[in-house]
Amino acid sequence: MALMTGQAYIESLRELELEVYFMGQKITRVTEEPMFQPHIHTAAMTYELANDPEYREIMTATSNLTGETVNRFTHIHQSIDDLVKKVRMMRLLGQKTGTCFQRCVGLDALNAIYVTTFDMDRDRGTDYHEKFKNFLAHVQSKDLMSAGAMTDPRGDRSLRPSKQNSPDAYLHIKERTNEGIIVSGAKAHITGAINSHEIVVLPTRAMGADDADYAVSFAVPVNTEGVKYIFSRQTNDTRRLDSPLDSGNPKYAIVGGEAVIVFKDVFVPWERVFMAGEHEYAGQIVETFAGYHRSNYGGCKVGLADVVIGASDWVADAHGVGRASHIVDKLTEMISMAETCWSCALACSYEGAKTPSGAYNINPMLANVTKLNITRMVYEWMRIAQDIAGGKIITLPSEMDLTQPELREVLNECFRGREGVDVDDIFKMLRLIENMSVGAGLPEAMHGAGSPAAQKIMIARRSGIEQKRALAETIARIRPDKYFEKIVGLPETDYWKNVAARIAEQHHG
Amino acid sequence: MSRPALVRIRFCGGCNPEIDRGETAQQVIPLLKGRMNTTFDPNLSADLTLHVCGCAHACLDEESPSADPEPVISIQGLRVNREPVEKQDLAKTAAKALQESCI
Ligand SMILES: Cc1cc2nc3c(=O)[nH]c(=O)nc-3n(C[C@H](O)[C@H](O)[C@H](O)COP(=O)(O)OP(=O)(O)OC[C@H]3O[C@@H](n4cnc5c(N)ncnc54)[C@H](O)[C@@H]3O)c2cc1C
Repeated sequence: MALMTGQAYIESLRELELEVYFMGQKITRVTEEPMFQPHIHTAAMTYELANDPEYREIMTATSNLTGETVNRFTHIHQSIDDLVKKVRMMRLLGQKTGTCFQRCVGLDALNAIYVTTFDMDRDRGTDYHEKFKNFLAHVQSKDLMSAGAMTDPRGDRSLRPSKQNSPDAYLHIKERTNEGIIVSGAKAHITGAINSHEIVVLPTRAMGADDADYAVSFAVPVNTEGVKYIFSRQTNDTRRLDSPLDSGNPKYAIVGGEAVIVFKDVFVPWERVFMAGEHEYAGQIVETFAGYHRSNYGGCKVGLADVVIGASDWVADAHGVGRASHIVDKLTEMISMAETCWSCALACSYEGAKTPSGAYNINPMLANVTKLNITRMVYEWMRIAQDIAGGKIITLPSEMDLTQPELREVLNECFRGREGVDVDDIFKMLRLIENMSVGAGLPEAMHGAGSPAAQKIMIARRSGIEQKRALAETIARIRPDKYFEKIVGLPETDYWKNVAARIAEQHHG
Repeated sequence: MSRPALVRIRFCGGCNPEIDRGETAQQVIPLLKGRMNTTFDPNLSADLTLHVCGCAHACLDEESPSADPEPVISIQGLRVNREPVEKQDLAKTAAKALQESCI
């Protein structure tokens, strides 16, 4: 099948009948629901750009399974070049939508399962990898969107899955049959869940032997019996029902459109099961997924930064302060932070490595550093955007008032900028900055792909601190320094004895 | 009697290594004794090359075009030829891989 266009993707969702709830209502037609439409448009962009020759290099790849051209969001990275193109794709899509385009979680889940099932089969004689490749070939040939469902509700975070009061705190296997497994539980915060074709599930943490039933990975079509979705609320989300202007980014919204996915006695046939009890591999699959996912944030959020930097410059110019030195300085600061994060994303891709499966993985240390920077710098550049845009981003009256002729006149007067700038455009740009800097986008930068502590744990684990201590000890003259000895042509002890003698001579002689 | 194979040993830059590259190479050399000779001379033509890289990225393996016309065995941090290896087994595993690729 050829690559889907944006419209073909939306068409493909129409035939899926999901059980979706939002604000107490059951939503029968996902594609027609105005609350969901901007999120669907954003995901459609990932399809549309793959058809444009200008972006094809970045948006598509050659499948290692079939040799066919596939959307990069369904591709297993085969080289460093693939890893680099992946983050370029993330930045590009952030620039085109100004929001989360939802598909990276699924992409990372596919790659993490590919890498881990290979190792599992090699070590344990299972056949998960072959099954997974069959599933992947299906995803690639049909050009499907996969939601990546890792995060369990987790109840008491200090307890392992098997020690929780409720078994549903973590998604788990309830029963194994000859035909497959039956699972129950939930996955929370799942981006793009209601407008995907497949849900790809993986465990959320390392597991012990007692947790074997929670060490489960599989894929199900979104409309599988027993699966239901409860769509999340976001700051100012219902503005899109009454005013495109007030919603700020009415085309693509903000964040990805998350949902709680509830699994109630869901049957998964064995050919779609990729881990069922191999608890020793839960940690590997989680770490591999998290590494890929954290590397993305230095791409997508930098794409968003490009938009908000552009918007800030535009508003400053419209207000007649575009050339003020502190504005130029602040914009430069935003650019510098964004490009720092971009450098991290490129670095963890360029420093990636081939895994035994043949797929390439990012450099985990640098990927965690990337995401940790994002948890701080997004707040910082959004703070500057708010500074430049002014308090109007949260005090503007609504579009409904702007359409009243008698109010319009005075509002135009209140909010107009320098001569020659259309006040309607000022309203649009201020609302865009409000949308991007005030609402859900900030905690997404904090918690998406894991909270900062999760990154710090990974960084500390890979810090090579012993080696850094040895470096310091060598320079501090606690350890021998063979290069110093070569440079001075003496054993260090003799050299320092000579130095001491010289000093003594100077002092006393 | 055929001459022992010559192994050229090359090191990566070692910017953030998971292992002590020098020490690892020094552990491999005696394990090859009698069957293989080793050299650090980049200009000698060898039968095999051993890359000693500090981390999984293994930048020497990524060289394009490769500077090594002969077969390469690669230590990539705590891996040999992409397979994870315990630190204490690194030298032994690399030496075994070198011997096997000479057969
Ligand atoms: C917008 C958005 C989109 C997302 N999309 C997806 C998605 O598509 N798929 C998916 O699988 N997940 C997704 N996530 C989930 C994301 O990975 C989690 O939000 C993240 O892992 C943090 O979990 P939490 O939100 O439950 O916070 P919590 O776990 O409650 O964390 C709150 C605080 O508690 C700390 N904490 C948590 N556990 C422990 C512990 N055991 N010991 C000590 N401290 C602890 C954390 O470090 C943090 O400081 C998304 C999240 C967001 C915000």
